[in-house]
Amino acid sequence: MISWLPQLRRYARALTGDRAWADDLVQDTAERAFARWAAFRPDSNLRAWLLTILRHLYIDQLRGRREIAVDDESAPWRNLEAPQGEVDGLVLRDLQRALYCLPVEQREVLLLVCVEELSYQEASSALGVPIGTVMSRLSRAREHMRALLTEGPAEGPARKTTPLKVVRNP
Amino acid sequence: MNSDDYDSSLPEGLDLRALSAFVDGELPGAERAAIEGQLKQHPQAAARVAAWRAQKAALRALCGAPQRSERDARNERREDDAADEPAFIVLRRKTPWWQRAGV
Repeated sequence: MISWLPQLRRYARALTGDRAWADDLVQDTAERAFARWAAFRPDSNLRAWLLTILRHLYIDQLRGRREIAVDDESAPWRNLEAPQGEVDGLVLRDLQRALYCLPVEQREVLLLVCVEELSYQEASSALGVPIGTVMSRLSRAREHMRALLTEGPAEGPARKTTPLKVVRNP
Repeated sequence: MNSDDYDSSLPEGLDLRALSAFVDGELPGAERAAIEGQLKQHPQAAARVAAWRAQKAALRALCGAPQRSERDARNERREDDAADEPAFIVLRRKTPWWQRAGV
């Protein structure tokens, strides 16, 4: 299990946009995994199981923090180091901002599939939704990101903010 | 409001969900071949797939994952050098979890 900790931390940091919160989440995930070790089926994917636990903990903790809007000037991700450079023509700084403008249900599926490389089946199980929902959320997330990146950063006091959306816990 | 309800079609009637699954290598052979055919006919769809692939590569870079995943390399039948970035774990609590877990 220890070998998966770097990836858990990567997912937690990308999901929360907050290093300290991410470290706590990984810690809590490891503790819960040990406590529930008997529930792990040896024939299933350990990493997907751990990501599932982490995601459940995140959603639980998010409820306690739901007053924080993602796009607030004080949103935690704004304290992350600004990424430099671009990849395939996309400026990473813009991408970071777009990622945290997404509703959490879109951000989490994008991260699980694109970054953590869960299969749709594994993502479906981690999120507790049917595969069809994984597919529609994912394509919607991609379109949403594309729109945000195409429009460019909106500035000024009239800027619309995207409040955190708490998804249902299955 | 059910935010899972939305129009996932391109003007030509192409399904965004299928295109998205194509990008992730989640389509079975026949559907995959059908999409490949459609991409040749519809530049708009091909542009969408290219944009999403770029998005995926950039997201991986942003999050510190190898930019070209093994899975995508297999899916695209291409071999690229994955630029592995090392990831480190820092556990900040005073008592490490492995000690508390009795490891």
